Amino acid sequence: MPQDRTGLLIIRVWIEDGSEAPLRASVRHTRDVAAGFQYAITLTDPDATAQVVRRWLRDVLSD
Amino acid sequence: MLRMSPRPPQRRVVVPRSAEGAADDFHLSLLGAFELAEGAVPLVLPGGAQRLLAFLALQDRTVTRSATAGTLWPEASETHAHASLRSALSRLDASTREAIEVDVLDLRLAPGVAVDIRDARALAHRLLIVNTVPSAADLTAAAIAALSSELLPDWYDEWAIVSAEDWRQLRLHALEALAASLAEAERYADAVAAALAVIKAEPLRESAHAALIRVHLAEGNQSEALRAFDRYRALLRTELGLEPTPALFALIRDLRPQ
Repeated sequence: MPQDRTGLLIIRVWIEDGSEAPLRASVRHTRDVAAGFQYAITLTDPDATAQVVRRWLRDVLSD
Repeated sequence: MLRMSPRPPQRRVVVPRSAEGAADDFHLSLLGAFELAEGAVPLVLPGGAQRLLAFLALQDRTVTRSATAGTLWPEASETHAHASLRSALSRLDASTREAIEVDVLDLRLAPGVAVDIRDARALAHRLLIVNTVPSAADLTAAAIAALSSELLPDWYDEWAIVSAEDWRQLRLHALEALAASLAEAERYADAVAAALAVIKAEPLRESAHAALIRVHLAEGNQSEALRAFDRYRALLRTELGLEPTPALFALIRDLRPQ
């Protein structure tokens, strides 16, 4: 029986007023929730954040 | 967002049941980890019952069976979700069943059940009232501990995640306010602990570092204040390639030659 291909990605966002790059996007993801989050990064750019999400989704699809 | 909904682990504790289970004897803990206790005795509950109790506790109101079933078993058909809810309710032992009020259409957590997150939220809101001096009862190590606790960590149901994030934002603001109040009361060690709790939860949150720096300044520890600033500045450079905001620089401006 094929194993389910699932995962969890959470993006937590807040704004640091007064900063030269005020966006803070904390991205965490995992393919094995029981093992906890396997990857975590904080980014300040919306496009870079979207790229992390796209890359992760492609990884999930490619398994 | 792709998600999994793993079942929470069961506790392996066997306890004798009391002959009567009044709701007032129950204490439900959702901060740090799930636990339902009757008196001082933790109870064994299957995963479905844990999720049901946690969900009802977070709603803090009467919820329809349909809404409960649909939220807890979102990927099941309506029929199967309702069957899962009936199964979860039927698996509650007679004692634990006292903790939930059930009728044909609705459910709610029994009013007498004490829930730690409710007390913690009330504490957080009291600390955030502007221009009010908190009572001594709210300026305690226990308050710091409660506000430092995550809600149902490692639970990934959407309803749990949303509640956990809501609590996270509230508690971080409340901890910063608590740090300021403790510093005003000259309880500097506790004030530092409160500020560090926020930094631990979110190392890149500037207001947390500002809170810590202000505590050190209030105590007259200028070198500690500068060290706290430099640590945050180094972290921000390493992680994001950024400098702190002008507001944070202004806090230590008078301590360091320009």
